[in-house]
Amino acid sequence: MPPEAWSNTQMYFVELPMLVVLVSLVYSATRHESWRLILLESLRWMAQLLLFLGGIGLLLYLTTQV
Amino acid sequence: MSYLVPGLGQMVQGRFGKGLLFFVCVYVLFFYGMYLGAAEVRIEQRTYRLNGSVYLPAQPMDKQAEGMASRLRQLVDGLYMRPQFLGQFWMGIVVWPALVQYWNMDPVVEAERQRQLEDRYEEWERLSENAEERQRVEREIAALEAQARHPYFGDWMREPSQRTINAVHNGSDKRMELAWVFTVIAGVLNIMVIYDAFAGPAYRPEEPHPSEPAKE
Repeated sequence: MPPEAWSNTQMYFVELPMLVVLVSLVYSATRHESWRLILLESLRWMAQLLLFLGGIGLLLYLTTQV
Repeated sequence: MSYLVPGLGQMVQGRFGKGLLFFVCVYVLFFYGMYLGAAEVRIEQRTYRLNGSVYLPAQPMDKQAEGMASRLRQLVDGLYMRPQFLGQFWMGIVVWPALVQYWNMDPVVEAERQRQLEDRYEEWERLSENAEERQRVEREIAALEAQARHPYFGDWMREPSQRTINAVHNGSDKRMELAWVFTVIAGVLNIMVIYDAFAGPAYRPEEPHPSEPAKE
């Protein structure tokens, strides 16, 4: 695999999930004390972030096809 | 205390689990950013090395202004050139080496040292046939590079030369940009952690979550 392809693979499958998970956990933990609520809210934020980023990615992809 | 070490304030307050969560999450983000930002490239016969994405540039001071006003202006100019440090600063004690390196660096002396280094490197590249002379120049290069090293922190979080920055960024990929993004996000998250230690969570345990029905 060429270095550029590995860098993109690493970014999408390592760095992006890491960022989404850690940011969601920390943000949720600053809003609640109960672990159950922290985990539920962090899952909600992870889904929202991935949907938002996925939407932006799809939009950018579509603009490159035009 | 959460400014010094993420999560330490919560641990001292007895909220050990949350403190540990903040400590692990924020530091993983920050040190992974530091790991991404540490890169090395080799161009022709010279190696350029960056040891991280956290540093504060020291801009040359205005010769007409002296004292605290000049230092403050120098700091503002440095932050204008490297606004990422405004986010990284909130990581606390782990970025204090950058402040120490900034305080100890005289930009005028550093510019002269860089000029002498460039002259030595050019001489070293010309002396490809003469091993003995090359070794002499290598010793001079090592001595010049050792001049700027901090006695405790070495080159850690010290502003690299512009030539090194250009070489490494041109020779690397987008991870160099991700590196400072990770460290800045970690710092900004720590602001929220500091606020949590100061004022508690946004929703108190006795308050219902907006998605739960109010108790009668």
